[in-house]
Amino acid sequence: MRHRIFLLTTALLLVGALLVSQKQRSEVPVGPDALLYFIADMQRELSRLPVAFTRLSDEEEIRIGNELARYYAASWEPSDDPSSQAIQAYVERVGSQVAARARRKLPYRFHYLRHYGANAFALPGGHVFIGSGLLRLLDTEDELAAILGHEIEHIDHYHCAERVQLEGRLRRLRLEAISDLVRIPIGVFQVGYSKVEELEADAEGTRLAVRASYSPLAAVRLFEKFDELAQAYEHAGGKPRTPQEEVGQILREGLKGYFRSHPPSAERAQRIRALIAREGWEARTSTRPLAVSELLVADGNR
Amino acid sequence: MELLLLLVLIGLYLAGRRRDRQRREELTARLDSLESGVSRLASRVYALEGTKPAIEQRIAAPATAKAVAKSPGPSPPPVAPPPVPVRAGSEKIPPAPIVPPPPRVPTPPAAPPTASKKPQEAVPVALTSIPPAPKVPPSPPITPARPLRERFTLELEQHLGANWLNKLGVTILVLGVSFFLAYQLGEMGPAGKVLVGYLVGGGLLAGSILLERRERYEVFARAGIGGAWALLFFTTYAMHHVEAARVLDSRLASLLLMLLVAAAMTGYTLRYRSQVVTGLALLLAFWTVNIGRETVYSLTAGMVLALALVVIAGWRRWYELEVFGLLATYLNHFFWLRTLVEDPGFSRQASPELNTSSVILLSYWAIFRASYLWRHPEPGHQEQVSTLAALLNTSLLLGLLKYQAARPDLAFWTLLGVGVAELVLGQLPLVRQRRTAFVVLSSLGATLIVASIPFRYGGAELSFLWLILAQAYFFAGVLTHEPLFRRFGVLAGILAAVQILAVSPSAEAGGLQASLPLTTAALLFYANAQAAPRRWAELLESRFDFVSLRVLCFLAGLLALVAAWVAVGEAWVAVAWAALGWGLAGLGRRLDEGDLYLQGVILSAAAFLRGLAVNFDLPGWAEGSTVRLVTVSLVAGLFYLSTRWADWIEPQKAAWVRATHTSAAALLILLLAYSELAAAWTAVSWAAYGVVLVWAGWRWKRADLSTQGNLLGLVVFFRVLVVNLDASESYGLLTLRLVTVSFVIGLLYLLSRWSKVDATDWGGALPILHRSAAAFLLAALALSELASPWVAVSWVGLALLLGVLGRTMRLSDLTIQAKLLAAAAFAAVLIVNLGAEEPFHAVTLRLLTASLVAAMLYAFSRWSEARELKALEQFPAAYTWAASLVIGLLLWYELEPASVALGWGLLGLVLFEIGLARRSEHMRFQGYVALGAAFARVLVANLNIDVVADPVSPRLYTTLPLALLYFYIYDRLFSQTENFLEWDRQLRVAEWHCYLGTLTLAAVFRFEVDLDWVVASWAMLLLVLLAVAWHTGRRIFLHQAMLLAAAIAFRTLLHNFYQRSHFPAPPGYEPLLTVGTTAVLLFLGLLFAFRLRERGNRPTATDRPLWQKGILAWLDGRPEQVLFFVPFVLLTVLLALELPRGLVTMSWGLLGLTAFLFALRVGERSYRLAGLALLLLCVAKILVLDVWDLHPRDRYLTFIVLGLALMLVSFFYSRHREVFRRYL
Repeated sequence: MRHRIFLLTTALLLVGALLVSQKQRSEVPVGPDALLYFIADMQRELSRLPVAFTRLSDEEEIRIGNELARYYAASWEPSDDPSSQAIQAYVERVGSQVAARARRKLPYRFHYLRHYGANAFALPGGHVFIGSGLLRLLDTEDELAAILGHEIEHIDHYHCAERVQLEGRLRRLRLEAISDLVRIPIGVFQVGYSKVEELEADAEGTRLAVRASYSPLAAVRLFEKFDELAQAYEHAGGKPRTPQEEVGQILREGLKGYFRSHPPSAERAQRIRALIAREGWEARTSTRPLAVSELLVADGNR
Repeated sequence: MELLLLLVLIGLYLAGRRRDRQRREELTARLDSLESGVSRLASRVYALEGTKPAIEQRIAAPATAKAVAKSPGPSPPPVAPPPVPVRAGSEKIPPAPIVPPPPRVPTPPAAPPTASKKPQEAVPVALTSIPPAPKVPPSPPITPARPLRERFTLELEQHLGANWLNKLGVTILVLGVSFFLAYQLGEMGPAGKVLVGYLVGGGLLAGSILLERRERYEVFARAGIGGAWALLFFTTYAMHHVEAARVLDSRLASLLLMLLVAAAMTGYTLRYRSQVVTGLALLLAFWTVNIGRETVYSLTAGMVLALALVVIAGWRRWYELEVFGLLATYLNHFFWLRTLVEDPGFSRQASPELNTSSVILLSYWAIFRASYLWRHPEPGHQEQVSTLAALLNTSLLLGLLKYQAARPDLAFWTLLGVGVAELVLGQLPLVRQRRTAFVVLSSLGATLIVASIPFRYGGAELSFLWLILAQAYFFAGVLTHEPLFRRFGVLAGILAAVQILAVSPSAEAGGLQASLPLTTAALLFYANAQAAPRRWAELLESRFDFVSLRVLCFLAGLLALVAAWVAVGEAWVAVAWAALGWGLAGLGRRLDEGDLYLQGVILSAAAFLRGLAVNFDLPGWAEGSTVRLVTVSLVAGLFYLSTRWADWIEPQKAAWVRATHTSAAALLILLLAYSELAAAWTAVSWAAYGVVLVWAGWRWKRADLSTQGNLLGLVVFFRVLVVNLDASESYGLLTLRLVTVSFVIGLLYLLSRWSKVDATDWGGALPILHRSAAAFLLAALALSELASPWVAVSWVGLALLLGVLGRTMRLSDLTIQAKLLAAAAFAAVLIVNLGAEEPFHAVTLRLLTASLVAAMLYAFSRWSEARELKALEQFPAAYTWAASLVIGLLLWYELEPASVALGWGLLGLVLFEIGLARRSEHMRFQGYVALGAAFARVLVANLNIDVVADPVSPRLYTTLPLALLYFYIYDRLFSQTENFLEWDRQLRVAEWHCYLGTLTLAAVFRFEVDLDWVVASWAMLLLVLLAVAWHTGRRIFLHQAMLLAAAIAFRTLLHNFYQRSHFPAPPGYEPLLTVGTTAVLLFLGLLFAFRLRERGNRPTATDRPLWQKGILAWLDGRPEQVLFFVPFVLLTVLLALELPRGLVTMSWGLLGLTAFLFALRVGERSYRLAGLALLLLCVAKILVLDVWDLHPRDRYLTFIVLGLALMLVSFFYSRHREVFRRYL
């Protein structure tokens, strides 16, 4: 009798959940993301303890960041074009305003990359890079502040420094030698960080932007925009039509996604909304337009 | 000229080689004889040595006996030697002095002592001291003969140096002098040249003769002698025939001189009885003549030499020499002719020399033919060489006559004349004494006569003349009992037949009249081959004659075949041949003549091929002509009639012949149907004919007909696949495909009724094959006629029907077909139906058709069991697996992505329950697989669901019921003790599901709860697990709690403590709050842990042995240790990380004290030691760190608190000393 009740309960719960789920039609990104987050977080957690005990000094981190920036900047051809220089000055101004509220007092420097796609990244010691492709996606200065705040927080929270430490340990590099430093590929900083680190940078970066008088809603809009782009990309690729395709996608994403464990944009936007609600920032809605929109168009035409 | 030189060398080489071979053979034989003699001697020596000790003993025995007999004592025992010294008589007679054996005298090897002599020697031998036989020295090894290869090399070298170099030298010398005489030294007069020639020749001859007397130079000198004579002959020849040396104008005188020299040369060289010497002389003479020829009359020298050579060859029987002489003679003539013919101004009509040349050539022929006629060669080699010479003589004569071609119009008469002459010569009594000569000359003559006719006659005249000649030879041979002429007749007949066939008219230009020569020849040959042997039995005595007549018989058949081809029209050739074949086979049967029967069979084959190649190209019924229909039907009918004649040959061959004829007839009828009927109906007609054939085979027990019918069934099958399945034209309300294929399927099933050929396995397989083909066609028909999604449904329905029929009718092949069809339906569902998204009323076509297929697969697995087939026992399980897979996939397609795991879970539950209820192992395991898939789906899908603002997270309500489901499965299996679950127990399915349930919960908490609160949620789960473990007594939950405690410790240490860099956590996420809550929850777990410890580790049915040993066993028995130390360590670290530095030591002290007190309360020594250790750590920290760098306030506070704590601890130790002792 007991097992019949147990069976009935279980079956009813399953059927009920099935009906609700069918009705709700929740969006489910099928893939190894959850497992990858789990593995990536575990990897980070494993590395975090030794890194925390052997943390680089700020001076050492600044030296390493400068060396890496000098080495890689040589390949990015700084432009003498007035438009580019104006955009560079604009990015520096916004970035400096945001960075002024960072906890670690580092010599933050901001670089506009004219021939770079829709991405931004940071190097240890205070170097933040933003590509023209990403700038063209923005509508307001507040969105730029959110992005720069996010990258500043990767530096502020030692994410970049720890990655250098980890790469140095894995590749057996002497971080004091420039010849060893340049063996760390720039892609290590471009691909992003673990889900926890990204969410941390999102929250703290938004906090920095708010402190610099920017609207936190810009970050929400930004991630909503990224989510739309991601969905458009997914639709272009098409959802799997058969179980075989789905398995193939899981395997593909499993291999690829291990190195790209960004949390989904929708979740990031949701978390920032929660932060806004928690901090009572709902009223901070006014935004400033992106002052270099026309310059970006002119720069792009060239 | 070079050719002549070559001939000379070849001749010398062959002669020398032959002689050397003879010598070598003689030497080898002698050597072998010597070696065998030595071997015999050696074996005799060994045999003698082996018998030596026995002989010595035998010698010694009488000697001893004699020595004893001479003494006065009693007689010694007869047997010697005794083992002990003979004491008998020793009392009366003093013992004989021991005489040492005499020294052994070496015997001369030339005269060894023989056994017969030994006993005569008086050898004093002591009775008690017989010396041991001296050791026989080993015989010296026999030196092996020199290896054959080495010996051959030495011989070759010797031979080359002694025999060949001299011949080459003298040849070159003679040639040089000859050239000198012919061309060089123009300032010297002819007389001088001749003088020089004679001087040189004479000097060489004299010197050679002198040298020849000494044995050492014998071989060398003989070559010189030969060369010298050649030079002398040439000088004599040159005196008239060479312009530069002409000193003699009279041709007669020259001829006489040459004859004289040739006679002298011959006479002299014959002294040596050396074919080489004489041959060398003669051949060099030929060569020299060739150098100096100028007019046709100079060729008379060749005649002279030929005559001399013939005389010598006949006298000495040097027939090889004659062959080379013959060649040299004709070649000399050829070279003269070539000079003449190749002259640009040469005209055959204006060259009277050609007539003279012809006469000279005929003279050569006459000389050599006379030599051949009057010789008496030994049978064997000499006869063979003679035959060669005879053949060469006529061949070279005719060749040169043809080359000079003085009168081509006389070719017929020349050939006829020479042929008649040879034939007549062959019949001379002198020749008839030598069978070989008779054969050679008669053959030459007969051949030349036959060969002469085409030079004058052609066409039909030639055919008839050769036929007459052939018949004449044949009857001559028959009447004279001479097989040679009969054979000539046969050969001439073959030649005539070839000629008749070659000139026979084509079919278009033919007719009965045109076929007359062919018919005549065929009848004549049949008469020769069949009638003549019946009259004259000796015609078949010889194997050759027997074969010849068979050849004639088959030639007659060929001629008859061609005659029929020429006589009748194109369309009726096949019929005529088939009729001829039928007639010949019948005649062969009547006359008991195998060749005729065989020809009948061959003609039938020809008729078959002819019918295939020609008659099917004729216009058919549709074009208004019935010729094809009639002729092919007649041919096929004649084939069937011909099978009646096969009853007189061997049964096996008869069966083969019948099978061949009926197969050919069947093939013709098939092709006729193919040609006359529309494409779609061909298969139907074939199938019907196949049924007729198998029925006839079954009725009259004819395996060939049955086999053809069965093969036809297969052909029909492939024909339907290729043609009929594409016939989509409408046929009334149906399609042509449906009508024709249905007919074929029905006929195939009918065919299977009578298709069993014999009782063998192969014979029994045929009905199965046809039924399988029919089933396959049914499936293919469904595929063609139905819309794609319904194909799988129809297939599985058909499979169900076949399965039931197979089971009812006990036809295992139907069962197998059903299973294969069901497998195909399954594959079709996977490939087609799952993609069918078209709506069908309220559902999709996919849902409807795939569900139907799955349901029928389940039904099929139930009703298609084939118990008689052991190999298929697992098939029902396979089909339930397939059905479950279809349903699983269907759920994937039809449900929302978030619901798939739930759907699979429900499917797993249903399958599991059915498996339990029906005690079906495979159903249960399908359920387990579905449940496992649901878990995997949760990992890759449900855990990814984004956090949304719904009241309840979809992640929760889509996963928690699954966790409950896993626990239900565990509980259900745990409570079952039936035997049929043994395998489930062995695989620990229940445990696995219990872990899956917990893992699902832990995973959901990991992703659903805020990251810093995950450990607290896990701690709560741990508490629940402990409670369940305590409540149910199932230690699996305790084990899971232990594992979860480890995970909590790991995550807290690595995440909660170090995740947030050095910045403070936001409100609500502080580690003090999250980790503190976790620690408290873990400490609460001690409430259950102590109870579980007291209950002890009592293994249950589902407990893993893993937890029965090692550290896991310890954990199982002491859960309170884990649940104390994990939070204790976490709190220690937490305090160190989160509190201000000045408060750390103090807080640690308080924690240590608390632990100590708690240990006292629960009486756990390890806890107490932990508290004490922490306190001591505080002391050490104070001493090493705090005392130096703490803020003064913190420092003293720390000191106070820690001091108090330590005092308190000390107090308790003092107070509860007995208690501690007891705890210790």
